[in-house]
Amino acid sequence: MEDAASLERQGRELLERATTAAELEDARVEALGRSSALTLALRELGALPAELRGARGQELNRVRGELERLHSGLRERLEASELDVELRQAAVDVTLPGDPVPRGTAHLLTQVQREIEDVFVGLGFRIAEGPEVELEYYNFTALNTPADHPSRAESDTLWINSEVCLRTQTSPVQVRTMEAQPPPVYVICPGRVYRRDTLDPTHSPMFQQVEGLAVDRGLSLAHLKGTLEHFARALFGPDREIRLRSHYFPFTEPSVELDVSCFLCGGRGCRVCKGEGWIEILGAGMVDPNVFGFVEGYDPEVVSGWAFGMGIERVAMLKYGIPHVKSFFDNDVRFLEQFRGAVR
Amino acid sequence: MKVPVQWLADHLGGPLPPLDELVARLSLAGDKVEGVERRGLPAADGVEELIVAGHVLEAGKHPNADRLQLTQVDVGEGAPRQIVCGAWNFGAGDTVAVALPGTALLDGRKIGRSKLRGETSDGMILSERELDISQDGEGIMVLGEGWAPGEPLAGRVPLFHDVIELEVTSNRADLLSMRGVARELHAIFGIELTPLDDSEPPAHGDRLTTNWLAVGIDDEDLCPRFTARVFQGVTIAPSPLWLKARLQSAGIRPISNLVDITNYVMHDLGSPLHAYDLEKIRGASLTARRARAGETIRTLDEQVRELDSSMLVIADAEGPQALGGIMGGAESEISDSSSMIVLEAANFTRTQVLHTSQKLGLRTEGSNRWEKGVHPTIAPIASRAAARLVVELCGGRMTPRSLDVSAELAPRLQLRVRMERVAQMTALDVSLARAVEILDRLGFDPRAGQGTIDVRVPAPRFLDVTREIDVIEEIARIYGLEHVPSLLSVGSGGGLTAAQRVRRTIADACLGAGLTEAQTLSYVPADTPAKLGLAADDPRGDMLAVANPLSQDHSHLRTLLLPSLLEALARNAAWGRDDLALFEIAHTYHRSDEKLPREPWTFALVMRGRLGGAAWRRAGEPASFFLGKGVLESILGAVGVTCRVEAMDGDVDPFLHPGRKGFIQVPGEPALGFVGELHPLTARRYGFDDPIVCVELDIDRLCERLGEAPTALPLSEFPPLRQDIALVVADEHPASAVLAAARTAGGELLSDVQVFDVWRDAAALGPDRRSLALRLTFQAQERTLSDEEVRPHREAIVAHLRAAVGAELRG
Repeated sequence: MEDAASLERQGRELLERATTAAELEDARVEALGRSSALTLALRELGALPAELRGARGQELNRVRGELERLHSGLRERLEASELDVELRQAAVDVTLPGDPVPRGTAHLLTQVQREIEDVFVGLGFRIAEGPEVELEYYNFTALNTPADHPSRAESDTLWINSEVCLRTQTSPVQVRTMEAQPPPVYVICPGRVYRRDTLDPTHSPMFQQVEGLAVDRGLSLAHLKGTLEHFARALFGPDREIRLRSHYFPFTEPSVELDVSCFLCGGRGCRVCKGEGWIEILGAGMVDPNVFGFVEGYDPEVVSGWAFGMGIERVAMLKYGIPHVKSFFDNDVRFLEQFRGAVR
Repeated sequence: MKVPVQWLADHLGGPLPPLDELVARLSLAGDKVEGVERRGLPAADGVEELIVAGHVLEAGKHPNADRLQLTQVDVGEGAPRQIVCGAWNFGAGDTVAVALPGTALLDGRKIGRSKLRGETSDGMILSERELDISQDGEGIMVLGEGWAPGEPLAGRVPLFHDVIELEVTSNRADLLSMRGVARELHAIFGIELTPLDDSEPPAHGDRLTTNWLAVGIDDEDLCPRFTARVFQGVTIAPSPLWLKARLQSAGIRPISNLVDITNYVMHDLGSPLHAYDLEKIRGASLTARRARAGETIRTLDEQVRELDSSMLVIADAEGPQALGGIMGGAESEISDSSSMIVLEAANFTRTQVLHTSQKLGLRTEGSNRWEKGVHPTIAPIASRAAARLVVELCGGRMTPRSLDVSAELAPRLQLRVRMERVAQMTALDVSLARAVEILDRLGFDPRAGQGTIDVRVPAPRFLDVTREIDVIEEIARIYGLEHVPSLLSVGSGGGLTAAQRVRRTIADACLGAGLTEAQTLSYVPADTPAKLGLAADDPRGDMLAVANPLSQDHSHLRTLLLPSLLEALARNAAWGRDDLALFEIAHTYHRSDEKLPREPWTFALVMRGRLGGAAWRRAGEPASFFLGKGVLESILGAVGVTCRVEAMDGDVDPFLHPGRKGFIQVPGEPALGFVGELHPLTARRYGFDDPIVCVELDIDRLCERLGEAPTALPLSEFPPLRQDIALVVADEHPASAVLAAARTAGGELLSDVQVFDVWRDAAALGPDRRSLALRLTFQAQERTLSDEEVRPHREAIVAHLRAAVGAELRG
């Protein structure tokens, strides 16, 4: 009668010798199968005297348990290594490009416009809209533009007839908005505007502006300055400084131009800011009392307002280093695709 | 406006701040400095000592060169210097300007001791151009009497100038004068403003001016003031060097003493002047009147100009001698032989000057000032200033009692500023005393009251400052906008409207589908409808025309986005990009019964080539009707609007493929747009010979279809049962009719029906028929369905399909 330890040793040797899953199965049959020495020994237990049976049975079952555990461990290991070989054979060149998921590019002007809209919507402004083919009244007269102002001339403005022109600015939306609602007003108006300009690096017969208008009780130059400071920092970076320079527009008084410290050189002076350290980005001012005079319910002694107007192309050109405004309207996809996810 | 800083100093009684500070503060106060230019000799240590007067002792032909002079010049050194010179307009006895070796000239050349054709040249005799005193580089500059040899020129003639280029806004005609800019510096920096010399020069003779000339104004609205002086014995000659140098530094070409004086005074005081040769004035009278029909004038630039009655002329007894405020006439032009002259200092109102100069295409330094507005009280001051110079520089003898005809002038406007209002509008903490000081320096004659200041608007500011707010701006800009605090405006409730969100959603859906966004110009050429083959009565062919287009390509406003996108597609093809899908969201413009056209927001896309991203594992999808329709469905799905595409009659929208086009439709309404492939003939007109897919959609009308937000439906816990059926259906019955019939007959248990295959085989199925494979999905809320339970529903569907659209079940 072989002792259990010997059976265990033999079984271990058989199992551990196997190098493939098939060999391991053969070894399992030999060590643990129906005709294995261990199984035979277990089967012979019944023939043993009762006082020996218990101890031997316990011993043999322990050996079987040990061997079975050993087998399952070995099997996992062998299967894993065989799978590994198989998987390695299925290797791909991970440097090949991934399958393209269609993803278009928003026009850079749309991206910048949305960025501007989101800043002001976040401040509680609405987005107002107005017609691009506009009455002379709204584009000029109601904006306090003198009847003989050169901007009305055929050389500057595109006319449909004597009363109707293509709007030269988004400012007519100011009066339209005030006509449509009582104060307070907090709106911005982005949109296309038209000038009788020949295409050159910085002029286009069509471009986009964004207009802003706030009218409420107690608004002052301080609100204009603080809000546009917030806006300039949202657009050009949190470290930007702004300054107001006195200027002239017919529909604001006082009028200012707003400069932002150069985002390229930080104000030391460079190519982008032409050595000045400052870049002019928009025109603004307190709404001229004459403009309020064109709408009902806006008494300049009771309410005051501030407004600004800005060219979106100009801002995009400065921010993204675009040398010629025509790039925006050529729609060369090589240009457009450079600006995928440009606003961040 | 070119402002030479040294000229400004004439009007100021104290030292100027450093140039950097001057430029920065002027800009902030609204007088934007575009740049600073240094004119004259390049800055270098000691350059003032190197340009000296020299007495020419000897001058004669260079022994080895016919065109050169060899000179001996005394420059105060004991021994004369030998200098070779190319000019012959001087000789022994003249005094000239000499650049000694070491001088760097304008063009960077450095003068050295050199040999020219074998003779030593120890310096250079200078022309006016070489010193930037005038354009004259032909002959050298002869200095005249009174110069000691070796005397530096810098003591009497400025050799260099710092010139500020000011951007003058259209409201500030006063800044088109040195006096006006000096007043700004006075206000900003507090530098003393010297009182203006307004003295009358001495007159001569017994014969009064009225005996020489009569002046009159016919139209006071166009010419409110006309002053004239007459001078006898005037000698027309070049101006003295200081005057030439000043004009040159301000960008004005020196011409002759008299003309230079008028230009100088215009620049100095801001009110333009004109001089006539009195002997050419017929009838000894000048009248400011409207031109008569058919009259012409030959202006100083030798152009003959046709006039009309909207234009103001200064006429003598026989006809126009000047275009009022714009340009003089050639007939009475000052010539070298003029000796009796008329000096006009008039006033012209802005609108006429603006319109006339626009109509004639003639802008001058004078018209530029008049069209911004010059006050009539400045004319006599300018007249006296010019008269003093004519007497001093031209030897003129002024006749007594100059002429001054004037309309009744309005007194200076009085305004009251409330300090409380200053604080309200500007948020600046300006004291009453400080505000008074600012207004005083600006010439507003302020009188302080209790929290108020009463002012009188100075003449040069008469158009710009007419209300309290305008005075407030003056206080604010001089006090300094850098002192304005920052406050954030917080609005009264922001957000996008539903329509604005829809436009963003459509764009996002297109980007997700791989389309690139284009932005094209709103203009199209007149032949666009013809290029699309639109029918004569198609309203989209009736485009709004621009009355004054800049070019033929930009003559009309588009009614469709499609043509602009096709052009963009064609340009990209030329740049080598054939696989491309573009979309645009913009207005189109349609005539309406109102004064203004209808401008619906419009969406369009175009697709060409293989799309969806071609790469090594796949080729991309060729552009086709169904790819375009797929994007359309994706957009409609994203927006949450249900539309159908319905077949379009072959004649409608002839720019589309007659068999592959459809209306985007909601029941009972005109179409919202179209989807289709471009007609190959249209495509060819845009340069394409392959399929182009296009969609165009009226977003405004789409927005009208936005329904209520969806509410949650219960989802079944039980599995669906799917059954496929294949039907043979005649082509006359569109798939939409087949699906509708299936839904009608399917009952409540039919939760979905889809076409999953279409095939044609004329031999097997017969002509004009195709097989449609439908997947029917049945589902119940409260139980699992069995084949037995579903069978009668399926049979009902098949029976109804047979009855409704003649569909036959395939085996």
